[in-house]
Amino acid sequence: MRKKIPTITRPDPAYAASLRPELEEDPGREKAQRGETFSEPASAEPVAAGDRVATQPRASSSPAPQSKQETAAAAAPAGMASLARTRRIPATRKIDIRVNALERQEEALIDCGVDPAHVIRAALRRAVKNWQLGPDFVPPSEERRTLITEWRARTSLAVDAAALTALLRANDPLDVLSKWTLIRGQIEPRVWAEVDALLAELGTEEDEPETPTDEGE
Amino acid sequence: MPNDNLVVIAAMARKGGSGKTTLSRALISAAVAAGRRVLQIDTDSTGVLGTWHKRAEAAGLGSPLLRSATVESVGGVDRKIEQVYAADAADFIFVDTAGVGAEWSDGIAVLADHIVTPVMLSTSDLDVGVQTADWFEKLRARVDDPASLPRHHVVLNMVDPKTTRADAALIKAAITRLPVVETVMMRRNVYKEMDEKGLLHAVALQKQADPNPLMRPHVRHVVEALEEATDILNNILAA
Repeated sequence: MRKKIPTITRPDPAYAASLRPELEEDPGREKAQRGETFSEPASAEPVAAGDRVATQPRASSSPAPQSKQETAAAAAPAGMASLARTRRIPATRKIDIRVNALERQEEALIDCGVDPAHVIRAALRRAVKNWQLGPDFVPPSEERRTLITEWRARTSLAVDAAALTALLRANDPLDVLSKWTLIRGQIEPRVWAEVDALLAELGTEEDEPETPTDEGE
Repeated sequence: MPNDNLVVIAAMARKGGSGKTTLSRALISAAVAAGRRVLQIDTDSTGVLGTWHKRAEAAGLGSPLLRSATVESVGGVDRKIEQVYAADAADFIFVDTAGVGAEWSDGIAVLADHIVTPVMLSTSDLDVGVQTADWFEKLRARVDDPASLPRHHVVLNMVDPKTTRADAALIKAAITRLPVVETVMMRRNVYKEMDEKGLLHAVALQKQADPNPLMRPHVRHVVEALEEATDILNNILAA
C-alpha cells in the first residue's frame, strides 16, 4: 500500500515568504481576517465577480495577531479605488481533501463496470464544480464510509478564504483542527449524491444497448 | 497490481543553483543503470529536467526505462504518483523542484518518501541548507501524522577533490547541523557532459564504443560519477 500522505494543518509563511508584486492577492488566512482586504470593489472590472461568495468578514473588528502579510494589507488604505482595482480576484485558500464513497455505495461501485476510484473522483469534480464554501459549519455526517482506501480521492481544493476565516473564527479559534474537518460536512454529502447520480447514469448506459426495441417495461 | 515498492524522491531546496537538477540527473542515471524503471517529474517552470530528457532521447543517450513528465501543480504530482503506483509503471519517481521556499513545498514534501537537498560547501549555502532542514523539521508540527513524513537527506555537493582546511571545517559544520548522507557529490566535469548528452551510463557506453581509442580512458570518469551517484542513492534508500 502506498504510504499515508499526512495532511498539512497550517502553512509556514516564514519559509514561503518571497518578494511579492505590490498588492498581490494573498490566499492566506492572515489577510482574510482583514475585512478591507476583501471588500469587493463595485468599480472593479468584473473578472471573477460572478462566482465569488459575497460573505464578508466583519470589517477589522478584532484583527488577529498575525504576521507580515497583514501589515502589508494594513499599509494599503481601504477605499482607494485605484488600489481596489488590483484586488478583484477572490482570495482562496488551498485545502487538502480526502473523500471516499459510503459503505452502502460499495456494492454498486464494484458492479458499475468502471473503476470505483474514477467514479469517486468524477463525483468529486462534479460536486465542487459550482460549489462555494459556506460560512456556516456543517457537522460531518455519521454515515459509514467505505473502508476501501484505494478508492479515496485525494486532492487540494481552493476555497474562499473569507468563508474559511468565518468558519475558523466560529469553530476553530485556536486553529488546531485540520481545514478538512471544517469543510467536510459541506462537501461529502454533495460527493455522495454525485456518486449516486453517476451510478444511476452508468446503470442507465449499461441498460440501454441491451434493451430490445420490442420489449416493453 | 499497485507497486508497493515505489519510491518517490523529491529534490528540494530553498536556494536556486544548489544542484538539485544535477543531483536528480545523477540519481536518475544511477537508478536506470541499475535496471530500475524511473519516472522523472519536472515541476520547475524552467523545464530544465524535461528538456534534458528530450535532449538525451534525441542523442540516443536516454533509456527505455526512463520516462519524463512535466507537472504544474501539487495535485498534478499527486495524481501522477497515484497513477504510477496503481499501474506499477515505475520503481522510482524523481521530482525536481524549483529552488525556492514556497507554499507548494509542503504539498510536495508530504507526497515523497525521501527529500534530498543538495548543499554546496560555502557558509551561505550551508545557512540556506539549514533553513531548508528547519522548514522540514517544523513541518512535523504542521501535519496530522508526522510519522508519515518522508526522510530528509542532505547531499554535500560540488565538493572539491582536494579538500582544503576551510572545506573540512564546513563539512564538519554540515554534519553537525544537517542530516548529511555519507557519500558526497564531487565537483566533476562529467556532470556538464551528463547535462549536455544524457544518462551517465549511456554516456559511458558511448565513450567505450568510441572509435577513437584515446577517448576510451575517459570512461573511467563517467563510471566514477555513476558509482558515486549509486552510493548516494543507496545511502538515501538505506536511511
